[in-house]
Amino acid sequence: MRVLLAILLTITSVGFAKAQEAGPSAEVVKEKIVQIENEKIPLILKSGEPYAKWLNDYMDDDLVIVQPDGGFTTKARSITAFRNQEFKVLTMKQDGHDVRVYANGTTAVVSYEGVGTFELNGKSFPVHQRFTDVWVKEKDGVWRRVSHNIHNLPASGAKQ
Amino acid sequence: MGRFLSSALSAVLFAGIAHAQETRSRDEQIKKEIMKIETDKMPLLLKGGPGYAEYFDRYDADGVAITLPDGSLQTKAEASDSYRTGEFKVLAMKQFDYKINVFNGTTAVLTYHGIGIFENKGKSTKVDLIFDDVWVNQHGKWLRIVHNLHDAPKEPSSFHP
Repeated sequence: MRVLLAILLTITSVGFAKAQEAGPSAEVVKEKIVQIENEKIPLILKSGEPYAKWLNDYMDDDLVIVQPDGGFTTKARSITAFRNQEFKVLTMKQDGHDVRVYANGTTAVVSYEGVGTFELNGKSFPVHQRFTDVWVKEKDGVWRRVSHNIHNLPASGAKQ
Repeated sequence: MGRFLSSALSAVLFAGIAHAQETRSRDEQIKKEIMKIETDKMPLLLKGGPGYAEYFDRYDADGVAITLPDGSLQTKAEASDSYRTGEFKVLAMKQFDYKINVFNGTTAVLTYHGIGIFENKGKSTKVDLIFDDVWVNQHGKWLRIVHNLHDAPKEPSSFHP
């Protein structure tokens, strides 16, 4: 009987370990992440120093950024691009946020899509992108983005 | 008074150094654990079939976010089934340029470059890919929660969000 119980407990815990966290605390995390994301949008549209500050506050220094072309960039490079106006976001609508919570509510994956217009070195172009971000609640209690992954989607704006 | 202050400062300094060393040592251990999972993966990946499907089942979170180079999404079940049925095979694969960043002692971001040959529904294609995986320690077990694939840049990549 004890053996059976032990086997059942093992199976249950293995199954639980593979799933995202659920329950009220996970919901609080999801709300927090979506709130940070929503607060970001007006700053992105301002670009320049306001968004550079947001990036500085919410990106971990070791953040890993994979650009749509498969190349890597850094927190410092992104901040510089906004600060010196080399890169601007002229329009941007982001939606479809799907947040999954792990590690006792200290890690969250958020996926969403964005449609808008970017300006790089004075040249503007339309974008339709999928973002996958990973946020970690760090020791000081602040949520910071540790991974930011961007894929280009077909320009039609239609969801795949 | 001066001696007391000096002792207190020394204690704080040593505690800080000891904590930093502990964190470094913990992160190095985590990097080794993740790399072992990656190294163990390679022979299974090349064998394909149910063996590699089981790797997916064991290490991928049920809600793992998989994004393919064209931006389309794939679920854990779809990925696992494509290996299990033999619909998708990895005929050749060399992975290199591994880089791991550890955050909070619970989350690791792993990037690497992979060059090889895939076979999808009987059609083979050469691939040159950048992988970006995120692993999380959940209830004492490492789980892959993000698996992103990009085509590798054809030329040196500049800033282009």
